[in-house]
Parts: sequence; C-alpha cells; structure tokens
Amino acid sequence: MDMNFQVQEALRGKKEAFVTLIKHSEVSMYRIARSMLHSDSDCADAIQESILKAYNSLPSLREPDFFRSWLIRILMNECHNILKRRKKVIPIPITEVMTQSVERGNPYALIELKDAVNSLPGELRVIVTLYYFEDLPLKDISEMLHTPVGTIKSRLSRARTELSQLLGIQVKGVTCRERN
Amino acid sequence: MNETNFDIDLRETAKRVPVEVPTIVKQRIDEVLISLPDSRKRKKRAIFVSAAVLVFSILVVGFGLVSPSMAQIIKQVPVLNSVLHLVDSRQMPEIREEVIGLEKAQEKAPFTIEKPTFLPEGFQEESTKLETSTRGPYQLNVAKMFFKGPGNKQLMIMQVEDTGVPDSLLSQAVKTTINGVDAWIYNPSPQVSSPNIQIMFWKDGKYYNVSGNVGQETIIKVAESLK
Repeated sequence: MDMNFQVQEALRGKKEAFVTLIKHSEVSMYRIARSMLHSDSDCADAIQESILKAYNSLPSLREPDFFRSWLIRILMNECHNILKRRKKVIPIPITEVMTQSVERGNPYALIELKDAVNSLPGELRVIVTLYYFEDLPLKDISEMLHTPVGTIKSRLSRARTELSQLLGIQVKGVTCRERN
Repeated sequence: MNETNFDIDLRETAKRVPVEVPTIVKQRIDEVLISLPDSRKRKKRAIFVSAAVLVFSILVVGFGLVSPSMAQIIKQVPVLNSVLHLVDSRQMPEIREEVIGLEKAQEKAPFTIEKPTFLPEGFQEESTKLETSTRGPYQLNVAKMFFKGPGNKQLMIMQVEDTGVPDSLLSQAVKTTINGVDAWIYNPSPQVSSPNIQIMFWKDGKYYNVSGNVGQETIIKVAESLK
C-alpha cells in the first residue's frame, strides 16, 4: 500500500483513505496498546479515542511521512491517560494476546521471545515493542515517551541484556546496532 | 553470535511473532470508522455551539460526557450522532474519574448497579468500573461490567443514571420489549459473522445498554435478567 498517497488523500478530506490507513495500522495499534494496558476493553477504548482524535486533528499533520509515528504518539497518549485514571500499572499478559507458535530448534523461538518480552518491566517492554516490533527509530521513541534519547538507549541496552539472559544467549558487552 | 547479530535477529524474529487482534477490538475499530463524519468540515461547524443546543436536554449533553466507548455506541445512532458533534469540549473541559471493582463502584454510584442473573455458558465477570465524568455543571456516572467467555466472546453491560427515552431518534434500531419496557436492538455490522449487537432500554430512571458478540437471542436473555 502506498501510505504516502493515502495520507495525502486523507489530508484532502477523503474518509476512505483515512479508513484504509487505520485498517493498515490496526495490528500495530493493538500491539502497542496491549503492551501498555491490561485489558482488551481498555485497548479498544484507547484505540477508538485515538482514531477519533487523529481524524479530527489530521490538518495538524504537516508531513505525510510522519503519519505512522504521529498516530502512535496519539495512541500512546491515550494509553497514558487510561493508566493515569487507573493510577497504577498492571503487568501485561502478552502471551494471552499473541497466537502461540513455536519454532523448535530456533533459539529465538517465537513463543520464547513473547514470554521474554512479557516478563520485562513495563518501561522496557514498551521500548522493546516500539523498537523491535514496530521498527521505530530512537528519536521517534524518545519523543513519544518524552524521554531523552540517551535514556532510551540505556533502557534498550538493559532490555537487550535481560532478553539475552531470558533467552539463554551469551552476549558480551552488549552495545548493539542502533538506528537514530 | 556477536551482539550485532543478536540485535538484528531479535528484530527479525519480532516481526514474525504473529498478533491476532481480538474480534471485539476489531469490531470497535470498525464501529468508530463507520461513524466518522464524511467530511471534517463538520467539525468546524461544531465550534458554533448555540445556547439552545446546550440546553437541548441533560440527556443529550450527558451523552457527550461519557467514555469513548459509550459515546461511540451512542454515535451509532445517526441523529444523536449529529447532536454530539455540537458539544464543544473546549468550552467545558471534561474531568474524568474511574473506580474499579463492583464493590467500590457500587459505593460511589448514585444508583444500584444491577447484576445479570443470566450469563451464557462459560462466561465470567472480567471487571466492573464506574466512570464519573464532570463537565461544567454536568456530571454523569456510567457503570460498566465486562464479561468474558470462551472463544473471544465478550459482553458489556452499561448502566447510566438517565431519564427520558429518545425513541423518535432510534431510527436504525429495531424496537422490541424487555420485561415490559420498550427496547431497541441495534446491529452496527450486519455483514460480519459475529457482530457486536447491542440492546438499549430505559427503566426506572436508568439507561441500560447490553452489548456483545454473542448473538441477538443471548443478548436479549442477558438484558431480561437485569431485574
């Protein structure tokens, strides 16, 4: 799908283009919401509100290339709003969310990775989801989380170390490639 | 394996982890997409809120104060939808509070939160919450009970302090009766196999909305058990 074209169309006021963009982003939106929130009903609340806000504030989107990170930022704000109302963070059972699929013989068996990510602390889990699952650059993640890039990097490093231990992989002096 | 390979492999593996968006979430995404106005120009018109609209009724203004999910349910009814667009949130910022758990919700709710005496087989209560929304002089309490069943089946029962039945506005819903009072059944997605059907009725100063992807007959039975 030509995201840029659909964003341009949506910016011209075409509802169908906006619907196409949201349907295309459905899995990402759910995955991110689920990494932050406890229940599917909360995820649905956050996603619904994000869609409405995104639709109403589309004219404020200056650069079509930024649509995806802009949408994710709106969604994360809504997730934070829900968490604020709850005033507590609840562990997220990601294993309930994702379909089980085990690849035997692979040290990164999908089920193991899901369990490992699931067991990370909340602040690391969200960063891992955005960086590895959504492939977002550090700069965008930094803006979304209102956290300096340096802090994101150090949390990512912690997450990698914890993941490598959880997955039983020896990683010495983890500094890993990072996209800025 | 060096650290770079670890990083690259992790990303590649992460991309292959399958994610299934639950039916209930998909349906609610579809519902909000269907309800979007055709043109964003409508929003500009909404800025010009008239005093007449603000006093239209506490019922309609009240609908504008509730959670996104409830607002969305109400928005599925076209005429109410057009009225909702007239509520200017910038003039009356909303304050929301939420309490979790049936006991706490019941303590704070200004009405009795009715529990269903019938639930489909395998269903269990997942959570109950009370959302209190305050905007200017208006306050609205919304109790929501969530139930989960086998195979991604879900039910939500919403109860709101409310009077007045806007029956002339429920044009896309099918009228029926629940325990002797008028009720309206609405299916926003008749084309899907397990639509999120909802039933709405007003009784004893309360608005009830029972919704879920469990089929119309079951929704009616659950609604009838709210006595």
